[in-house]
Amino acid sequence: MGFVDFELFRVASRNLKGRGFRSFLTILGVVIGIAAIVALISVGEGLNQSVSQQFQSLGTETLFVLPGGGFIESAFAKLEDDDDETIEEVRGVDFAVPLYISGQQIEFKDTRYSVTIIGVKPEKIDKLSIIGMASVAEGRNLTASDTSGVVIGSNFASNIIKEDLSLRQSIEIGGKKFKVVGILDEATNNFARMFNSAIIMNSDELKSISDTEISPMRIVVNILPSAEMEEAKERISEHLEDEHGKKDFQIMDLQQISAIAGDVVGMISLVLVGIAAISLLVGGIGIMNTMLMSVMERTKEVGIMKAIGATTPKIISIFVVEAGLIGLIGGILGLILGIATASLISILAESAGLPLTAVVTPELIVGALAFSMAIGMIAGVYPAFRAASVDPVEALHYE
Amino acid sequence: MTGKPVIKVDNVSKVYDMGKVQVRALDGVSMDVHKGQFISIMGPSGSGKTTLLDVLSALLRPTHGEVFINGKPISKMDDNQLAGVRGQTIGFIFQTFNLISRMSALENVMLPLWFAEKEQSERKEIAEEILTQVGLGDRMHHRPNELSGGQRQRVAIARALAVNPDVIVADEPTGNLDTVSGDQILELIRNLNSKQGKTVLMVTHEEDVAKIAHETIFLRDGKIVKRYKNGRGGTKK
Repeated sequence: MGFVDFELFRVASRNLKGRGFRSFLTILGVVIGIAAIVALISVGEGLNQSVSQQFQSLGTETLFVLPGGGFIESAFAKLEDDDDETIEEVRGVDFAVPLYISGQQIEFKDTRYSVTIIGVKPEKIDKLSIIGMASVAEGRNLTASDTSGVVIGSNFASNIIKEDLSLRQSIEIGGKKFKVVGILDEATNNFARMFNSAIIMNSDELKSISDTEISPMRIVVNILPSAEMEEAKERISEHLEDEHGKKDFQIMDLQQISAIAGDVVGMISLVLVGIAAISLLVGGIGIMNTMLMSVMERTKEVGIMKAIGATTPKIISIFVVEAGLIGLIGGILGLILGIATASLISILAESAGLPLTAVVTPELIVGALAFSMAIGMIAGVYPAFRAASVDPVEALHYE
Repeated sequence: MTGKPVIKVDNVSKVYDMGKVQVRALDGVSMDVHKGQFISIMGPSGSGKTTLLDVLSALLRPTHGEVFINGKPISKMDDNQLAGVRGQTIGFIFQTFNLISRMSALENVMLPLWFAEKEQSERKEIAEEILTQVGLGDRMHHRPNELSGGQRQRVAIARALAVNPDVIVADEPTGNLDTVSGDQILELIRNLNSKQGKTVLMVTHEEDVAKIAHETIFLRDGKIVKRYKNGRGGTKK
């Protein structure tokens, strides 16, 4: 006999046939558990890849200066209009561009829309395209003399006003007429995506039309390739703190930002792991239950097999392999459901502006199937021992 | 009868503890079974004939006494060794056939060969040959419920013969069959003894059936009360 006794699989699969719906209910737990694990790992892998793609497209020399202690505490602290100049004084800094972000009402063809407006100092807008933000596809970019020109994001017309908006057409913002002078390229990295459905205008103009006081929401800083990232960060922080008199800002590099994204994914993962663990436990118990029932129904059969020479290890292996096959079937269905779920998450994430492609590796497929089979086999151990303990004499004389 | 017995039963008792009462299914039974013998076991219900057959075929361990199979005491063997001895030495034929219903005739016959760890190709070859031998060459892929009673018992006989055992143990082999198929099965069993030299032990409560054996053992209350040779034992009745 070889290392793998194929007869075991033949016998086990025949035993499973005809159990039908009952077996299906049994494996539901395994299906859901494996699906959760597969979805989790493939989405996680996809997220890893999309984060590293962003590093490539945005470069590792970019920093963000944010008001307050972070994203959440930014409500009261604010950055100053000349903070970018202060930052540019620091050794190792290539350039710093403040972004003023504000929600405004606009009017186009007698219809009002709420839109995001990004105000940029026009003399610095060219700098943004160096780091993959706000490159012009059609028309021209803003200039210092642009007091009534705006540039629109690649998807602004299609996503926000859902009408054609081409060069030289006019829109009314805060009661003042502006002309579209340029349309941007579509931005693909996460940090430039906000440009896609926004209007970009001269920051002085944005301040003049806005009812509320407007300050930079973030400053994009690019470090010279020759400079050391951590040292530059520290120098910027010290210099800005001197200027403000307190540390009411935060400096983040891409690693920190992706770590925040990672935390969110981590929490989702934790929930999915919880679901997976509970489902697999329930699934395992379900398999154990169905196998125990099967052992009871097949007491006589076990007796016959023992009478005609089946040893205890043989009986145990028959039932363990059968339970393993139930697990494996659950694993196959779970794998399919998991891949489907992961694809759905990808689609949802994509439509929410987060580029994410679920990645299903061969290792994941093999691992999921092996794991589900192992769960089945473990669940089958106790019923198998019960089967092996059947007394052949009693079983044979039981009618 | 010369030489060592294939099965030797030495002063065997089997006691079942039923709480308040103890039931003595076997009470100090001794007997030798030699190679080539055909022995029938008779007795009224509850006389212990099935228990004796279980003990003779290493299915049941006695409470007292010892059973030797090919000279080896079964009390010294663990359950797996006992299963091995059964698998290689003894072929079982039951009143209710005891075939596995999900499996075809061929698969049922292949089963003991799997337990005896024969190669797949060999299992199939042997099983096909024996099924043909018992006249089921054209029914090999039928399941038990697609076969008549007589055909089922033939499958069971083929299964018993698969591992080429020395001893065939039959518990009321014709009990669930009509007269015609019963006679055919008995003819088959008799040929196993006379043509293939198998040792046969057969429990029955019908005198006509018992008579085809060389010898009959008569049990009552767990004791052998009579042991006699049948005049025309082993030949046509």
